[in-house]
Amino acid sequence: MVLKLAWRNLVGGGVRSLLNVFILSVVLVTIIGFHGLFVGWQRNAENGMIRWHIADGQYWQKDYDPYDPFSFDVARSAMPKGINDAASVEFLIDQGVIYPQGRMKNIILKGVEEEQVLLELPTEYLRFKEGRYKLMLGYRTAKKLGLSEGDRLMLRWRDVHGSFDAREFEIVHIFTSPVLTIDQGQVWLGLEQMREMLDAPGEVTYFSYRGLRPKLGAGWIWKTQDELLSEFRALFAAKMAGVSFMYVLLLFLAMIAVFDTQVLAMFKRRREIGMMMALGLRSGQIIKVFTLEGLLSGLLAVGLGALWGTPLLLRFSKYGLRLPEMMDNYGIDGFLDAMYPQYSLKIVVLTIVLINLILLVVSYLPVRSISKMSPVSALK
Amino acid sequence: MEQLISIRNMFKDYPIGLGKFTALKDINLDFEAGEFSGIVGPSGSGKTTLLNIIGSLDVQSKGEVKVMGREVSELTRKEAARLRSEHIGFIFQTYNLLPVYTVFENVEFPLLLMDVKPGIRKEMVDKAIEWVGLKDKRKSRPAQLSGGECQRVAIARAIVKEPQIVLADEPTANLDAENSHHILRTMVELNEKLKTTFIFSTHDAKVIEYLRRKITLVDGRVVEDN
Repeated sequence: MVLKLAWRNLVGGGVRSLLNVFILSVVLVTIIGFHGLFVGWQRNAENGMIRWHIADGQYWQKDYDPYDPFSFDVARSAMPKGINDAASVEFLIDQGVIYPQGRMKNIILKGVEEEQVLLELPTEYLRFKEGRYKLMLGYRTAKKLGLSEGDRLMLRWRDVHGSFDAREFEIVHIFTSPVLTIDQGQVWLGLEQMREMLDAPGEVTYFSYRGLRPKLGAGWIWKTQDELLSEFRALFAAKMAGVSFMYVLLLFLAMIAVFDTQVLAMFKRRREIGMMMALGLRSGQIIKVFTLEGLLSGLLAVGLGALWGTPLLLRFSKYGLRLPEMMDNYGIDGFLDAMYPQYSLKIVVLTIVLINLILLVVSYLPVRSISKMSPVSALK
Repeated sequence: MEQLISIRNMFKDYPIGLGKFTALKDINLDFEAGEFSGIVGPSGSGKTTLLNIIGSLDVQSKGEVKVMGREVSELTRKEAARLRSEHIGFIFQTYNLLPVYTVFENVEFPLLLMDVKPGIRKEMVDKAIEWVGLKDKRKSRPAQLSGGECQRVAIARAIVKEPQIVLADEPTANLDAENSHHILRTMVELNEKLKTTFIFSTHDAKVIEYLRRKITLVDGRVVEDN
């Protein structure tokens, strides 16, 4: 009986109910889409970092501190023995200076094992055997410095003995990667090239590793994926705080909209409720009918949202959110020209449950006060 | 005749500031099954208050009011709701129909509260709608009906469950003469057919014409009962 009356009230509400349901469905789809965008960004960024640089984790030479370029001179050791070459990618780091179009710019020099196939970094362009003094760089750095493939670039560095050396290098490749941390402020050279330049044969600063982790001595520190991604995750968490605020704001707006409608409807329908009381509907039944009416509008919103939102969100996840070119300069990892949302079942379920819970509360509150009135007062 | 309502030494007070206003004073009345009676009197004489107490929508301040053998002031909200749901029908001056429901749904409402089975329910609703002559309007909503038609829906809703008592508070106040007479004739017929007790509150001469018993109330006191 309660369900029948609630449904009748909802359907009888006509345009008012329809608007309520539609607005709720918009809020629901927006929250899921908005959240999906950020989840997609995070997953794309983390996957990119893993595929392009981190692998399963990295062994760092014990003195290596990526935030202290002065540590680079000492933070290198001979590659430990017994490491499966196919499961690791070696890196040698130093600082240097480049002179693009006559300007001077400090830069990080990164030597990477040319023959590696473990990471997506296109190191084949840097093969030492096929010619020396080659480098590659990411498209963001190239764009910023106005450099193109085939350009020649003067590079200055300091070898292990402390003497400065300089040489002209050819830009053999400009790579496009969603990972900012292997692009900005650095140029990539072949590992053999770097070792020769620094006079540091066989030495590495760190190496990425995939597979069962070997136990190494105290000279090497294992950095897990989680540790290596922690900085990005911290940045992401800060951004998520903003997203969460939006999430709460949207929910709050939904709540206000429904509460407003419900309160208005309840007080407008006070006589109606009084009449129901006069006819014998008990307080508890009145609360149930009108609370259920709110809940039913939530469930209808889920249905309506699924109807128009699912194709929209799927299309959105396939084609992504196109970003303006200037976004490249924002220093955000994880996407190139578009953000591709990914939707988690958890957030879909959570949003649906949360919206319906809110609906229950905001439907319950106004009707509770009316149901406490005497029928005579409600009928006035 | 079976006695349905018994009122003894009943007073009804309303607090006003630090004092009180006595709306009903020392009322003593009995109503028997099948009566077609009315409480008449000028506005503010306490007619509606008396009707509300009889209908267990309100309670007296002092005295005794027994409806169907139950003391109204001793009923819990739940018990009062059940009494109204099972034994009393209401007709109000402003119809008080549920605007989002159709005529059929409005009339069906009291039966839903009584958990009447769908098949029987439909039969009873159709019969009540037919009694009041609105068979062709069963799918209309109140906004699509005239005042007279709305009041007929209210009557159908009041009598659909065939209650022992129907309380009608100024049922013709918003109607023209023709509609008033039509509605009153309908109620007389129902009273004769179903033996339902009708108690009106009115100061409308048209209604008074139809009453078999008139109880005159002035300033909260019964001054005449014949």
